[in-house]
Amino acid sequence: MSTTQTRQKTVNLTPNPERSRAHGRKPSEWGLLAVAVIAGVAVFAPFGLIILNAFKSTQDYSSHGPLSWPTSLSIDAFINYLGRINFGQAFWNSLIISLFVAAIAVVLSLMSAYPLGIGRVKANGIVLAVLLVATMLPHEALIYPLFYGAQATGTFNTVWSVIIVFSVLQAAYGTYLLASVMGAIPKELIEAAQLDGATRWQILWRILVPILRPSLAVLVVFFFIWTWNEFYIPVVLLSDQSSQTIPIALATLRGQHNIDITVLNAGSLLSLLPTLVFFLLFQRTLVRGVAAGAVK
Amino acid sequence: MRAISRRQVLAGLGALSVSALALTACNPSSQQSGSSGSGTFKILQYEDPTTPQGQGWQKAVELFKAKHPDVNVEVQQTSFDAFRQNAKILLSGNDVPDVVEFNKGNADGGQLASQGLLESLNDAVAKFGWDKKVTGSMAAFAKYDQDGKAGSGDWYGIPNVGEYVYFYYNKAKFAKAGITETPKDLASFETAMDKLKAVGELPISSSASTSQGFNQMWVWYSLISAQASRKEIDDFMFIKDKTDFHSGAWKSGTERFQQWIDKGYVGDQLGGLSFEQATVNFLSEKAAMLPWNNGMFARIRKDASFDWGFFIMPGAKLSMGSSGHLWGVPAKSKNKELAYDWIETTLSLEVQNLIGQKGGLPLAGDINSISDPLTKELTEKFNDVVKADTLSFYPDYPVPGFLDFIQNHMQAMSNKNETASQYLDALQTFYDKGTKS
Amino acid sequence: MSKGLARGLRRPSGYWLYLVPIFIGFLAVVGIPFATNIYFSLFRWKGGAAPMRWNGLGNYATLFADVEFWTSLRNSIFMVIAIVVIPTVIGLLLAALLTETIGRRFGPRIASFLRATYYLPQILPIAVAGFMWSWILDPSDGAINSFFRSIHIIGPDWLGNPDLAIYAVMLMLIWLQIGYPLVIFMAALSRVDPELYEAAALDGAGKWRQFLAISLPTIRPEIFIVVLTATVAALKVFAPILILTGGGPEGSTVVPSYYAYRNFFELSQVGYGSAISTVMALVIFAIAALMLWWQRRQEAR
Repeated sequence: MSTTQTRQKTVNLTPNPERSRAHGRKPSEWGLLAVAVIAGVAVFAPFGLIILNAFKSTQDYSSHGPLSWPTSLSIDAFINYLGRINFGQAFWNSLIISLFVAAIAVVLSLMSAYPLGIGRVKANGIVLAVLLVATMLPHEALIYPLFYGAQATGTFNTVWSVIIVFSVLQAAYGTYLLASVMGAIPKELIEAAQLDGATRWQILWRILVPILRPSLAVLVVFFFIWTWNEFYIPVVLLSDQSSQTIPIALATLRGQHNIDITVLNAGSLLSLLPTLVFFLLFQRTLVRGVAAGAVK
Repeated sequence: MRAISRRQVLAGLGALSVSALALTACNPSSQQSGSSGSGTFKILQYEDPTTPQGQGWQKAVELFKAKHPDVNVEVQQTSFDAFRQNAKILLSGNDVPDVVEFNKGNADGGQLASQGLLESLNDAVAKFGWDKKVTGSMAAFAKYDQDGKAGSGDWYGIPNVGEYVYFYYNKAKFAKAGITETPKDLASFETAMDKLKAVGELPISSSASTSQGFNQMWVWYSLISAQASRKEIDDFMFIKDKTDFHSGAWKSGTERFQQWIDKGYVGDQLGGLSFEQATVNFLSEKAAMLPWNNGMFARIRKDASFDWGFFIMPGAKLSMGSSGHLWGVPAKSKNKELAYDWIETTLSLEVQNLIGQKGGLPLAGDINSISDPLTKELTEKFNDVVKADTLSFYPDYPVPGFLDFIQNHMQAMSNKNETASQYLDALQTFYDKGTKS
Repeated sequence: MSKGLARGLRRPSGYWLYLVPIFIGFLAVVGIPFATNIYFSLFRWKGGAAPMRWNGLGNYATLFADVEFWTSLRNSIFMVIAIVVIPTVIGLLLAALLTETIGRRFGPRIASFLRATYYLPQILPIAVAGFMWSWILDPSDGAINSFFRSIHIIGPDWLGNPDLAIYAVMLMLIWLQIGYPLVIFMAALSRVDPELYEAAALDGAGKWRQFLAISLPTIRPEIFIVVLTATVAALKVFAPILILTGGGPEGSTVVPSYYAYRNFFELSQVGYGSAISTVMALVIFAIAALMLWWQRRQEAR
């Protein structure tokens, strides 16, 4: 591959404080920081609107519109939301589903990408393309068959139907991503391990996984968040209120001819807190350095 | 060693699949009651529990539980969108609720009825006498024939409440424009709106976005209804005699709608607005009137910081409105007798009066039990139009997919990209195609 | 013994075992439903318990003459620009900026904080994001037009004008999508040895040259991944359209997925909806296969 990877060095992103900062930051660098911060503010702005409107009373929101500051802060919306939704149960269902899917899908991706990225099984490309079909089917097309399938296997209305479905769907994506990354790992590494007498299983878990950690971390974060926000398939497979997830519960706030915006905003904020926490927790793994090529 | 590791892999895989299967098969905690016998009674509905009807139903649950202490009553909350999307799949499955709320209209209720997913309620209606409480136009969309067309056939749904459309108006703005009394006919209504424009006020707050902007559609259909005969609307709604959209109230109403747009009565740039935005525009005093139904009554009462009132389209022969959503009993329900009893409970005087007091327009309540004068006025006006049989329902009922179609053309007309005549052409084609069945 | 082992490991057949779980899952969750979908597309069917009436390839014939379908395909191109092209480019530049300049000169904490900010749109429930964007894009009082008014420009009707709405949708999609390539590229850039940059800097290469010569080639696999997966996502995008415009105004923002959804659930034409889904899946498959083949060729070089 590229020459950067023949260097067997540990890359560390944490800058040496003495070295970099002592050099003084050039004005162009401050300029770039400003650009990044302004862009960040622009990206955050709609989100700020949600926070703004979650803390308004409905009178305030109706009389002044959504773009104005609250005349007085009110947590009515949150109280209403928690009164209308069984938040604890929906939260628990969402958490179980997202965690299980993230875990299972990552393991599944790892196992499936191994033969494709390293093992070079025949018909490598075709297998990948076929797997990717899984990510290509619009969900609406899957609803009828999945419904009947879930009923047939007795998983309808249980979290397991959703867990199985999304583990497979997310793993299709993960397989592709990991196979691509694995394909870029130098063959010498694997061959060295093979000569040392390692089995395929050992190579996978003892050598590849440490190298792939940032990619695995990315996958865990993605899978958790994507699964958390899924609506169209869960709403078909989880018709019982006791198995509802947060997005399904949020949707009950919308009627045919009426909607409570402040409550919807409050509910959305509460809904995304877990995913945000999850993302922040895993950010640290993403930043940590990678052993680019070091073997035993 | 190699052989062992492969065996280990196989063993691992085997264990995984077996445990997954085992977990799927025996998961009693998450497989809720529903399917296992008549011990549990499942009610599936999507009503906001803070609305009058929602509150009435909470009372009904209390009463029902008192009547059937040995039954485990489970009230399930879903959303309107989710149920509309999934109703057909859900009701044709195995784990079916015992009684469901569903939407009136040929696109929703009609489909469910014609596919045999709902039980015919004729016997229950006769037994409990529901046809004494649900009469006239309130019963129109409760009955469907075997093609799923409303107006005739068996009873498939029972409504608890009604709804009707009118104009909320800002009294201060009317006074500012020099309008001393609410208009009595279309001509004086238009004069009033001219006066509002003269003092720089937007007369009607409206919206036309595809999935959420229904105000324009209701204004248009209200103008049709204002001059339509009972027969014209019935032919259209219940697909009886052929409807010629280039004649009668259809033509004159749509042309008048175009004039209203051209004169600036409804404002412009409506294609991206939702009814929520139109409501907020009215409440933040950016427009003088809001056309909507009684669903907004409680909110406007709570949120308006100005003096307001309401009136039905002035001088209208017919005006928009219909029954509320319907209770139905799925054909696969395992507790049909309990379901009938539940419906009877929701129609009982106690529940209906509670709904009435909150302003929910009950069909079988005693108007004298309402103490609040404004609520009483709201309910009286509704009862009057029901008795006079002047309700014209909602325009999207007759044909599936009508809603999107009409909305597209509302946008086109509001953007002045289409004339009334072009719209009527398209309307004729779509309606004829959709009612050919 | 090692020779026997090496031979055994080089045999690819052992690797097939690892693919068994996902094959089973794929069959159950994707294969069979897709086959069912194709089956449905050969009928006229209203869904639920309605009778299914054989139509052969009739649905497909209708589809190829359907103007609305071709409009939706044209809109897909806009979707690809908004979900693939622009966010990938912005993501690349931002990732380089955050990793190399800001991460190194101002501390990794700020870089992480900014990354989390850019990723926020991805974790927001789409329903509420849609509401907020409709307020931002409101023609009279929305944030954008209010800003324009303050500099004496009259802002247009973003969501109501059929010629403009698709661009408004694209704006929201770019905002939604930026975090995805950013996170992937930043993780990928952590693979680059910083000493390479210093060596290049000593040779006189500026930041931009370093970016082009060092960063880009290193993260080529990730760029492929992002472009391919984002293209697939763009071709089947659905929820933002449903929430923001419902395909309007005047049908100008309909995309194939949304068109299929309408047929499935509002028009109750399940057979036709299935035909749309099948055709879209095949189109996406063809494009993805092409891109994969291209990626293989690049890797072989």
